[in-house]
Amino acid sequence: MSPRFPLKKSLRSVLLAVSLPALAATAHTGAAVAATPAAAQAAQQGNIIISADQAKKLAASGAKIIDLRPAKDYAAGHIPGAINLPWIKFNQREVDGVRNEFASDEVIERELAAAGLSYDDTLVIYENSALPGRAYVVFDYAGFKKVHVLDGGVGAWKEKLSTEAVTPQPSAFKLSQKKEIRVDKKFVEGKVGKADVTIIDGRDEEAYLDGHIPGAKSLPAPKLLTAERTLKPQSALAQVLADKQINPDDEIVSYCGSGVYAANNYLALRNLGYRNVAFYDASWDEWSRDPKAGQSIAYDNYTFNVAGGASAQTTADGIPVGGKSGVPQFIDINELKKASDDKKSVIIDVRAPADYDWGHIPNSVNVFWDTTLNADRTLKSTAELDKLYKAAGVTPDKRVIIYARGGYQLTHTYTTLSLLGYKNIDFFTGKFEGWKSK
Amino acid sequence: MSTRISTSPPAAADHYLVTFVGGFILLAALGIGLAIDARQAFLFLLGGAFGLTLFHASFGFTGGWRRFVQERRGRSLRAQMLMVAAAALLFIPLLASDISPWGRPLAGAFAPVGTSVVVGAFLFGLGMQLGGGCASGTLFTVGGGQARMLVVLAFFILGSLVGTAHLPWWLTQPSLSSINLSKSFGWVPALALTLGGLGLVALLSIWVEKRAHGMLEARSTPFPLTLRAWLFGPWSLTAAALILAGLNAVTLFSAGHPWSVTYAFGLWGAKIAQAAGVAVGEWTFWSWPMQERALNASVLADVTSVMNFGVILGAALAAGLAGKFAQGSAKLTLAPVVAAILGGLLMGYGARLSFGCNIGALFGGIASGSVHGWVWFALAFLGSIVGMRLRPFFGLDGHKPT
Repeated sequence: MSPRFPLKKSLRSVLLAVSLPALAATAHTGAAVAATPAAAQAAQQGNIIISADQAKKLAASGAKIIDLRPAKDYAAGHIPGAINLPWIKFNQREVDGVRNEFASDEVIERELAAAGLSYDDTLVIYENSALPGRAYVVFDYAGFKKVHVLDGGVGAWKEKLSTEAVTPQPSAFKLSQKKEIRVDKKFVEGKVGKADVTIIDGRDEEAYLDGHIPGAKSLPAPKLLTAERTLKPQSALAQVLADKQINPDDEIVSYCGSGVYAANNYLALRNLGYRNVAFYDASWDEWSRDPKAGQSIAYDNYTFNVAGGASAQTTADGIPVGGKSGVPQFIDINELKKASDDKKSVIIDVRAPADYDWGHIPNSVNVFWDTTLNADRTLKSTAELDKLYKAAGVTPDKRVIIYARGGYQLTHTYTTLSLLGYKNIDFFTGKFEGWKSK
Repeated sequence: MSTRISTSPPAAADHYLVTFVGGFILLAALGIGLAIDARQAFLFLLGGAFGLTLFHASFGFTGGWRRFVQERRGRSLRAQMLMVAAAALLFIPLLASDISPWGRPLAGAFAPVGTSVVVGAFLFGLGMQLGGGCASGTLFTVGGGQARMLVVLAFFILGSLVGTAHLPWWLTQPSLSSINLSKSFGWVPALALTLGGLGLVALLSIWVEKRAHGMLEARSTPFPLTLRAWLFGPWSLTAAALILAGLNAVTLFSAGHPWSVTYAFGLWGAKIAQAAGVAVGEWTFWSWPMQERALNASVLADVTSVMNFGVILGAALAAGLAGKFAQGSAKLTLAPVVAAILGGLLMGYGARLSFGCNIGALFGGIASGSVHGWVWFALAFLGSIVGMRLRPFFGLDGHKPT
């Protein structure tokens, strides 16, 4: 019990003098924060992903640091004061054949409570790179308003890491402010082909080329990071997005294979100030298994290198000898001409009717390969296909020679005919002379 | 092309011929080595070794088969079986291993078992008897100075060329795919089957001979044991059989495929025709990649051609050493020449259809474990039987021509 000093009185007045302007300042920023969500998001531009210094400052003023890595990595060394909340706890590896889905609300709530978190907390989360998207989206979904991400992950922390575990005091956290940020397949279906919507595919270029949601643009998430796994500079990112015509004013739908890269893109775009980004969590896992969903493929057509290549059965001195045991052969022009006159053979030209009309192999019939597909690009039924081919005089008892001008057309027709039970099929893709022309 | 009577005096070696041919062989080997590569020069010399062996042992299939069918003497036939068996012992395991001395695995002599082999082998067997020699026989007798065989060779080449024009059609006729006994049963059973089959033929010939003569023919030519015997001949059929088998194995390893003879005849015919202005390059056969390349390249780049040259020269050298060059060469009268022409044409055509001759199909095919080799053997033998019956009509075998 200290005796009363006259200093205490002056202290109070000093405090008062200082606090008033401080209050005013806070009110100012508070007003800014309380503005519209869009503006709020804009204000967060570059504010989600923060540097190590900024992280330190926030930590000093009471922010909670969360290490999202597995317990083993946390134990080996973590940012001093960080609590361990492995993101895998929010994740289900596979649900109904779709990988990397959110855990249930109960589980999310439980884990957040165990970590002692509350909606008032300012969080600084980190993993191994600037884009721990998978975890970020859960926090976003949970309703946390003040979430930051350490740019470059644990690698950006230049000081010594601590091995001292921090055990948080559990809180009475309830998922009362959650907001659904995920969209479902139906939503995405409705956006395909829309002018002001941009669908972005976060997977590697190769996967994108092999099949993507029609109209989607390729934005491989790893490309947004530098070699040190920090986020590329804003100017660089803005350039990349501008080049791909992914505009900040567009409605964006982000997907990938299972939702990991999609979340990374989601985080990166939000960080850049994009205001309208939807997250299609089920992604390609779900989309691609629906035969009717529609896919675009970006690989060029291909051909078979027939000259001494594909049908490579020859004797030691180079006489081509094919086994007539159900293996299709690439036949030469002489054999084709003979087959053209043979009643037991039929040459089927699978090109578009317009091409066929202008000039075709004498006695060949036309069944455009595309007519084997329905409007939604699924294969017609067996009955319909049988009818289609029969109408052109193509029946399984005959020797069928497919004349095609590209790998897709050839392979598609061969597969279709094989499914219908045709066993005697050969190919002709070579030079032909003697067209029956218009 | 049959047994030598041991009481005939050894002829004096023809020094000039030996020097000339020997020198030519060396120069040619050098030239080929420079023009192509060392391996090609080696294969040329290997051909020479084949020619020398064939001549010194007078190792012919044609006369041997005739002796068996007409006189019930099977020595030559058994020597042929020994040769193929010894080769199979080397080929089948070699082919079963994935050894790839030149970057790609060794190729055995495999071909589809179908109409073209059946017809072609029969025609070959027929032609063989009319011509008086099979493919290897024609080469070594030409080298040995037999003028009549030059006629056979010339028409062999022509027949092969016609064969190349028709082969694509023949290949559309009914056929199974090629059957590799090693692939079907594993190489050990394949080897057992092959040796068993060859042994069976040998045993059959022994049985036939004993039944007809009471005992087997005495060996007339001993296994060469002195240097003199090796150099100047003659060699026993057994020695030749084993050496030929060994040489074929060396060929398989060095060339990547077994010894073949008739492929070159088609090529020579095509090159000659092309030089004469015929648009051979547009024929289906000669537009197949490997054939096109062979046609457009130097003949020295073709292994079979180079080996054939070697065989002829090696035989000539042997003839010179043995002093038997152009020995017993009969005057060329019309009927035998007609037979030579027909024989050559049939053999050339037949060999192209059946993917080879006695060397390529019988020797190489059976030793590789290919079923087509056996089919070839059987059909050629049948054709030969018919051919033997026709020989008298052409004044061969001492008959007056009809």
